[in-house]
Amino acid sequence: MKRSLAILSFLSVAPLTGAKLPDVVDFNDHIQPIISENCYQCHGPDSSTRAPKKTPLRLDRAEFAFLDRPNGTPSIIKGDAEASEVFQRIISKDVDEVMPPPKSHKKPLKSDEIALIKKWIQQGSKYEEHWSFTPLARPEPPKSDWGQNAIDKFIVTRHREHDLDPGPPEEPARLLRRLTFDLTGLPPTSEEVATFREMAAQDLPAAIEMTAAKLLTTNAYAEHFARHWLDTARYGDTHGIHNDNYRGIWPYRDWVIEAFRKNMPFDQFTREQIAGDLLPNATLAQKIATGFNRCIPTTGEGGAIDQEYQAIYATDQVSTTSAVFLGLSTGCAACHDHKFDPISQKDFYSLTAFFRNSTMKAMDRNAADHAPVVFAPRLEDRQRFTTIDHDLLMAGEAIQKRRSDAQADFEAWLTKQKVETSTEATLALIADTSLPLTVRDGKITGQDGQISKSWDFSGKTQLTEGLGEVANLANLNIDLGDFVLFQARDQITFSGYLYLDGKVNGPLISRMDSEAADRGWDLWLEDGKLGAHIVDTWPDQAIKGVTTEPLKQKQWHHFALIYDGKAPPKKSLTVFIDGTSFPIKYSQAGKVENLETNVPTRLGARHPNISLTGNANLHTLKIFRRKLSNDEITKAASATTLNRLLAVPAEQRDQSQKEALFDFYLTNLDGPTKGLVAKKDQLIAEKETLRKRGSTTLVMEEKPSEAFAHILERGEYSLEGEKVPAAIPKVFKHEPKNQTLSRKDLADWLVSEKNPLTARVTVNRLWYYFFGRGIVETTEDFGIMGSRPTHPELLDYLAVELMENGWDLQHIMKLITSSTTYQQSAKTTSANRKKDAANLYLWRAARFRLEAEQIRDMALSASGLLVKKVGGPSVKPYQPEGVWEAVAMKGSNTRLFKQDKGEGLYRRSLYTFWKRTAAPPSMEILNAPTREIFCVRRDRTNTPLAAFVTMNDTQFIEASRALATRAIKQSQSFSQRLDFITIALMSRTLDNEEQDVVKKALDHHLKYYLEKPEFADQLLKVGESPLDSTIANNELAAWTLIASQIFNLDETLTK
Amino acid sequence: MNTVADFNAAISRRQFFRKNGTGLGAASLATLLPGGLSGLSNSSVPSELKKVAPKAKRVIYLSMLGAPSQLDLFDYKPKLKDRFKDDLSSYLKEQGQRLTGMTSGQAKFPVAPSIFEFKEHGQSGAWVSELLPHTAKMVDDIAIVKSMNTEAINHEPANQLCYTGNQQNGKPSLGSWLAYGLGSQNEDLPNFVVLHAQHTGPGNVQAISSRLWGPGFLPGKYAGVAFRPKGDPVLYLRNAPGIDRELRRNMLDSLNTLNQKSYDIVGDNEIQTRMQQYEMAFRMQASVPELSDLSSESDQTREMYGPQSKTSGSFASSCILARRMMERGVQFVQIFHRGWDQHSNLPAHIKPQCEDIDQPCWALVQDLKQRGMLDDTLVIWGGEFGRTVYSQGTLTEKNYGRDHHPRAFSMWMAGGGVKGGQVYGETDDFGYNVTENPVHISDLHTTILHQLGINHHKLTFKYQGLDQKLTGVKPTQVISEILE
Repeated sequence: MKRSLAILSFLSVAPLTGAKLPDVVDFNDHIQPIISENCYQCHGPDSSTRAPKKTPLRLDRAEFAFLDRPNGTPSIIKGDAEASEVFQRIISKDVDEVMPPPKSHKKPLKSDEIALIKKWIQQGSKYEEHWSFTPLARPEPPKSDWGQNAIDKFIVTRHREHDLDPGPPEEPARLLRRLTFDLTGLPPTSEEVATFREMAAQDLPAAIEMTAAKLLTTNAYAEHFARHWLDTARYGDTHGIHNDNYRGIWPYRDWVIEAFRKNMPFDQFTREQIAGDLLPNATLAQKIATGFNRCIPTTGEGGAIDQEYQAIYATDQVSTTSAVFLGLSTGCAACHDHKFDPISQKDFYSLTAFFRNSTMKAMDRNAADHAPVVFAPRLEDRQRFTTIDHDLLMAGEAIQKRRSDAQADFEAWLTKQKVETSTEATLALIADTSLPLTVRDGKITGQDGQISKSWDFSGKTQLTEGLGEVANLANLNIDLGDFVLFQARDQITFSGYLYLDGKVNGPLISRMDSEAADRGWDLWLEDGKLGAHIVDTWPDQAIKGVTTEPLKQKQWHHFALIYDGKAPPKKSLTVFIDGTSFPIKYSQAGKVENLETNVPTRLGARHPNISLTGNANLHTLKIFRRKLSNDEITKAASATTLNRLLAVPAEQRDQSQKEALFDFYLTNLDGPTKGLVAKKDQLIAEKETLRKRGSTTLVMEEKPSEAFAHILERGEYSLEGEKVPAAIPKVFKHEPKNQTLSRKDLADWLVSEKNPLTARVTVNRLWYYFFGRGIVETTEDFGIMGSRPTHPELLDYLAVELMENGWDLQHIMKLITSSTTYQQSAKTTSANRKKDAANLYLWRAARFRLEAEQIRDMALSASGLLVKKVGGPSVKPYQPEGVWEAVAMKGSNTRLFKQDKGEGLYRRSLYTFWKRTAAPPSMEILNAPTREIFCVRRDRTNTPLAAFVTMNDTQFIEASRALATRAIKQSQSFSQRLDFITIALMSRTLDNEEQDVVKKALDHHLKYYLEKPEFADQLLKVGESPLDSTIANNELAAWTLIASQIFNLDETLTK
Repeated sequence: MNTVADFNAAISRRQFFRKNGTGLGAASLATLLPGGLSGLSNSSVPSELKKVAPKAKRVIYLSMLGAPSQLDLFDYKPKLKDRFKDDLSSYLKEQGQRLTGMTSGQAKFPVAPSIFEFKEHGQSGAWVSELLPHTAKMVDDIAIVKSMNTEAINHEPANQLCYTGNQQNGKPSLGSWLAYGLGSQNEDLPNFVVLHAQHTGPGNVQAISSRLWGPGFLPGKYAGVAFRPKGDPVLYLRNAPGIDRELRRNMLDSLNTLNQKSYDIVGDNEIQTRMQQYEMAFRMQASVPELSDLSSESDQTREMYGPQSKTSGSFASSCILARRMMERGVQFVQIFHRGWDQHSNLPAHIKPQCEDIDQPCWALVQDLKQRGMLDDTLVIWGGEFGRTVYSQGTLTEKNYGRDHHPRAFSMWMAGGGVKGGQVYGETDDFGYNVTENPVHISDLHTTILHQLGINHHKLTFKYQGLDQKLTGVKPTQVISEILE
């Protein structure tokens, strides 16, 4: 369809009816289309195919066309067609002479084409620069009494030329629907419809102006236009090639949204995306913006060759930049000079040089953070993220300040302290089981619940300050009998004091049956690291974890080890040393069901033959049948430290001991310090949260060297030819300020006044968004082979408007929406249809199917399911099973699709996770691009597959149910319920005749579901949002089907 | 000029001027259907494209993704036995062939002869490895091309070249070109279908991308429609739970009535297209499940395709499905079978791969023959490139791996005007270079088009100002020697 319109547009610009030649033949309008199609292959810009080989003839530009040929005369003689060889050759009957030659697979020129060429030569064969390359100047809008602004004056001129009658104004509610979809991608709400009707009744133009202005300030607007732009930027959430893993680049997507939200001028928008990193004092946001050029698909395929992919990436970056900003298809020049446009192969490789000076490596390692990257906090966190470091600094300083102020309080406290005789006394904690392990009279004693026990002890002891003799556990093996029993689901805390000297390995205490796959538990030391085994069946149903760091040697430590049988195995162990939590490394983390065993508990061993080795002292082992709180553990730990320090007489304390006491005081007892530390901890936690909410994002970064590239012969990466510097294509006659150019110069030139293309291409793309077809239909190609503008003066007028109004896109949008052209009805008349069926000249409003995202967002919005949250990581709404798996590699981290729950199902479609090798299927079927290459113009096909999506896809059925629920809740009346649905979707109520049709269907469905209640139940189970159980199932099911029907109406799916 | 587009444009122009107040004429169908399911039937094939009388009406392409080893299947090199472990370093240097990053760092490149036995088969005496006993039985039905070659040396670019004609992204797939060029034979089914068959080899699995069956710059309706072994055979095909065919019919009738009313007021042809779109969807809801339901296949047929034919999604059942599609007018079916990338443990890993495909391939050809369809159905088997004669990684008497090799590999073709019982092209003693009758991937494309009656120069589409072609800008040729 795209193509047929292009042909129509060409025909209508140059109506080639043999009888009617134009009075003045125009090179751009009439001649170029003929000779570019038929002659440029051999006589155009491409030097490699120019013929004849020895004396090449070039006809695309005046400076070559009139040069003398070997016979001494030019091939075109101004004013004399008969004498011009060009003319003689095209009319020749001789197969060896005639142009184009038959072997070129081109047909001979048609008689009207020949007549045009003849007349052009007769009239002086005047060449012109290709229209899109000519400088921009503001055309004067024609005078006319039709329409509201300049756009209309240009449009009506064409109407008159083609004898077309413009249509009446659109009905206000439909107009509002069009406006709201165009500006926000969403339908208007029923309140908005009502308000607009009132406003429109007073003053329609004012109502539109005010409404448009209001819509342009919404997040929905920013999201909608960001989504348009993400097509051009080929944004995706995966690398795109081979493994197609996740890639962190959504901060770039959020940057685009923010740019539209702030209505960033388009020149700045361009500069920041092309060269944000090179701007003076580039901000984080400006660096993130350069993600535009990092959206290229990349590979990490084993065996791929760096050079080859560097060439592929640069070609993609040039092709995208050219098509998006310049409307030029430079890609062809990768292999040879462009066949039609004046872009040489050298120009092309000079453009690649701008992008090849990047620090980016060719292979992405399948990593999410393929360098260069920056860390980007969430947009709403960014302000805080930049100030939090300062706050942290201040918090630290405040703690220091308190430290110097607290000396007096400390001294006062210290004088009151004395050594406690027993550490135990400071612990108010009552353990369920305790084992003081002080040796008295060759015995150790223990308390198990209410029962006191004692055991003989004949091993080594260590004299410990304030504790007397403490048992040394080395090579000990004391059978404690039936002592300490707990179950797999219990929560248990072990605490005590531990002193290690040298290498220590083995069990401190255990109850483990080595005959029964080690069922049981132990407290375990491994090279001085503390941990535990919790074993059902070793090794699969067992947990083993030890601290990542060993305990410090030769000092007493307080420890606490918590086993939480309710936590997942990998989180079941926690160890505190001296009140600080230590990370744990798990070597086993299987599910444990049963710990029961009949073997006795042993101290210093876990089997008569397996004992602890090395020098370890343990005392005051306590076992609690609960999780001790952090606070309890800290207190217990600090008591030890304090006693150790206080045990040294005041006059003998050295500096470090004094400091330690002071530190102890500040940390544990000084109220102000504790407050300040808590505040700092809070800041640290806050920073961590912000960090987790953000993401790294791919950016551009320049190497310090000068930008250059090699011409690659035939585009082959391995055939490096001439070395060329970064440069703007010659045809633009750019005069560089510097000797060497950087990406920043490219960015500046793209939006400079001297470049006529960017503004034209940009307003044209905007026009396309509103009218479904650009003034130049080929939005991606403004070159010689692209479509001709249907309204060239209007295009230039808008381009000048854009530039002169500070590149304000919204200014153009306001112009468009306030035009009579835009506000026309979409109705057709047979008279107009006959003259311009494709509506090239806009005698009626554009009427076309909504885009994939608009259709889904409409369903979410109308049904009230939409979650209006802006930005953040991409989400994974409903998708049929197996779509990713069918194409993915085993190792890909996007092989298995894991659908979100809750709000992730109901975000706007631009937040849907975009896997490039398997785009979201419901959107791809509705013509969303795969985002593997840039897309500035979407296809619109109406396939049965698309009908399946809107009829059967879970999200559309669920939305129908939600909409039906709301409709039923707000009224008992059939027509009010129906109105609710149709206003939400179509912005209008149905007339009586239409209502009758729906009523009949509803009655049918009601009866059907009453007879088959299981059908109703099934339908209502679709989707994860809660079902309203207050409505009868058959009623809700029948209305769900009605909502689905209204949703599938042509009028609903169409703008 | 662009012949197909011209033709379509002519149709469109006629449509625009046709007055079509009642019913649903062919008027607005041009925008309508996937994979060329245009409802216009054969009439959408431009006459100029039919200059050459078509030998084939449809194609089944059996794509072995990951690249099967030609040296262990078809390209028999008995002399290699004597050169076991010989280091090819200096030979490779002479060849100037770039190596992939996976083996370019190897100190030595030892010759790895195939450990599998080869025998001559059939009238033609073609050599086939013991890995493919069923394929061996049908050598007289097929033409083995041993001289295939490509430029690409890694999977992604090679697959793109093989299935879209270009190493770069964004080009239409082979099937999309055909859908665009051929129009449709069946109003209720897409004419370009893709099947993803399960594979059982434990080795490397390459990723694929929908771009291999995507429409590129052609209109979206020419995209391949992927049929799925589980769930809906076509995405979203089945009515939502709780909506049966009667309810759907009733809903559509009501929908049509409202749409018709809207058309009467607005007069936009798109509305009629919409109505037709939904009607066609309704018909597909019946025709696709009928097509995908293999329960009506006879025991004899199932036996022929082997034990895996009962497993939905297997290569065997995919082949049966492909044949059913051919019978119903689908013109291009592509079966993707992954898992052929044997960089290491080739002997162990290639076996189950061969078991997946060998009997079904044979059965498919026999089945088509029995039904009188082989004559006008072109069957193609092959991967995206070949594998190296030297071992990647450790080489032992019984084990080796092979890296990617673009310069020579084997494919086979059958039916659709291809002369069976011949082996075409030859390679050197290392199976490294083509020594006779080279066939580039683009030549294969040219030949496929040719057999379908399409001159590859004429199948063009204007995009970015150029007449784009499947076969690119370099000269290509029809492999006429293997044709009848």
